[in-house]
Amino acid sequence: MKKILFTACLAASVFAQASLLSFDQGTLNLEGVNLNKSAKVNDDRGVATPMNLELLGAGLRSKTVLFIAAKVYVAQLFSDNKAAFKRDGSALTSLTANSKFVALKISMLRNVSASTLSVSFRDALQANNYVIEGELTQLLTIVEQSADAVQGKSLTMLMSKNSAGGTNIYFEDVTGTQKSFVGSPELMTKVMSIWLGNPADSGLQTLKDSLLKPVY
Amino acid sequence: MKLTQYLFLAAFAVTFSGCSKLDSLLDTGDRLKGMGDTTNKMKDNMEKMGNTTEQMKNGMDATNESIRIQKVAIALSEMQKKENRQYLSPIPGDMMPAGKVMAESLTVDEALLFLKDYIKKINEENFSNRYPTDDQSTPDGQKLLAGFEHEKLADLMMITIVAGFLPDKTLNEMISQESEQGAYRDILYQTLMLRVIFNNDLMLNASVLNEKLLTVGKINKAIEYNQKVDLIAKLPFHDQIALSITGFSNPDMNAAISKRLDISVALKNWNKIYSAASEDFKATSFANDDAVKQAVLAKQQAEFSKSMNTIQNFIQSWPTTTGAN
Repeated sequence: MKKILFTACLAASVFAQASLLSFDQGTLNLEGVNLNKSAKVNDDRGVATPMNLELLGAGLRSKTVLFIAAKVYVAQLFSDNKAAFKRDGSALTSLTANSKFVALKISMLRNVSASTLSVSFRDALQANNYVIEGELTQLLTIVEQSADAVQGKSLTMLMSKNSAGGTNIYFEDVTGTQKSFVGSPELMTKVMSIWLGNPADSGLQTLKDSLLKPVY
Repeated sequence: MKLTQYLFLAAFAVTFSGCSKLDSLLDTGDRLKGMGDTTNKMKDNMEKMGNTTEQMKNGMDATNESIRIQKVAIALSEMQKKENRQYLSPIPGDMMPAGKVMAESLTVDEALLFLKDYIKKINEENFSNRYPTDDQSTPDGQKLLAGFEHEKLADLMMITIVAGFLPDKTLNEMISQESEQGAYRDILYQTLMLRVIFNNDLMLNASVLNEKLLTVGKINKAIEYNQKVDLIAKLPFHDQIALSITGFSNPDMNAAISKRLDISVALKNWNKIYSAASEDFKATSFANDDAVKQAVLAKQQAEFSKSMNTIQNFIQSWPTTTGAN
């Protein structure tokens, strides 16, 4: 039994080390998903660095089809500058102007194909009047070509500002496969507009409202 | 010369032209008489056959009507089966095939009565009437209440599916019969709202537009569903079209379900379809022969252009100020 537990722990740590972020357990749950108090950015070998991101907010993404709101995922938003995050209409601007690192953890409550996820991100970007070209096409292609998002697993998006003023974006799918590219300084704002900008539907509006509320 | 004189001269000529000719004439007369009898018999038979054909037609009509009624009854029974109502989210997939059969089999009056009865049932039947001895505050009562509400939701989905799948011909007849002075005008308004919800929420946005519009077939499906929304949004009485649901025990649920038609949804969908089709469509051919491949690709491109023109025409059919408030 001890041997099995040891093997399980080893497997988990190997997985955690290989991922973009190492999450600290929280004391609260939402729809069975633990709300992590904070997350540490891992280095390129998957080892946790001192760069600490704190949880800004969390919420449920639901989609209403024929009167019933289907639960899709739980989103958790992290940043390295929690104090500067404004929980009002200027949330998006305050987040992207004052954070060097921003991350979003998406824990799936149902299976969603990678293609559908990509289309839903596209709809949300278009709701914010962004034309889908260049770096946005690149991002959506990465999402579309990633593994399907399966129930019980998480995917992570991490963005950081680089020394040249651009945005490094990393996408980790539910299998732990990571893809990244370097985008413009505005990319962080564009991407985060999906959740904090003009909501594309009522489900994203509810999620945005939740993300603006502190969890811990 | 009078007519009688002509007839006499003619008879005289026949009499004296020769006896053999007369015999021949008499034989012909007998044969003609026989033929006349046969014709009369044939006529009688034809009349009898005509009656039989009419009877056969009536019989066929009665059989077809019985089959239609059976289809309606079976479809209704299928949609009311517990196992087909168990999973309503993300879509009530188990109820949809029977709902389609029922919608395609109902007459205008039957559809109106069916929708009227179920809207009334959803709005007026309450837990304490159904279970007068059960206390809904107890755990068992809560369980019963949850089941009762689930049934109500399933009934609502059932009528939504039927309203959504009604053939255009049935719907158009319903509109012309009821929209002005019909006895079920209010039911017509609610039916139209249910049809918009079905086509906009489920068939279009949660199905076709949930994936990339890679093929002309997908683009045309999107056009087909939004045409149904567009038609309703352009009706002269569009401001009357609404769904009012009051029967759930949770008032928030009633408020979330009750909806008034927002006509701008049709134009928003056209723009969304146009944008997605422009980005996603790719002509594709698996033909090995290059000439065949080029021909297939050209044909697909032509079909795509035709579809895009259709969407453009629909977009231009709306005033530029639609939804701008």
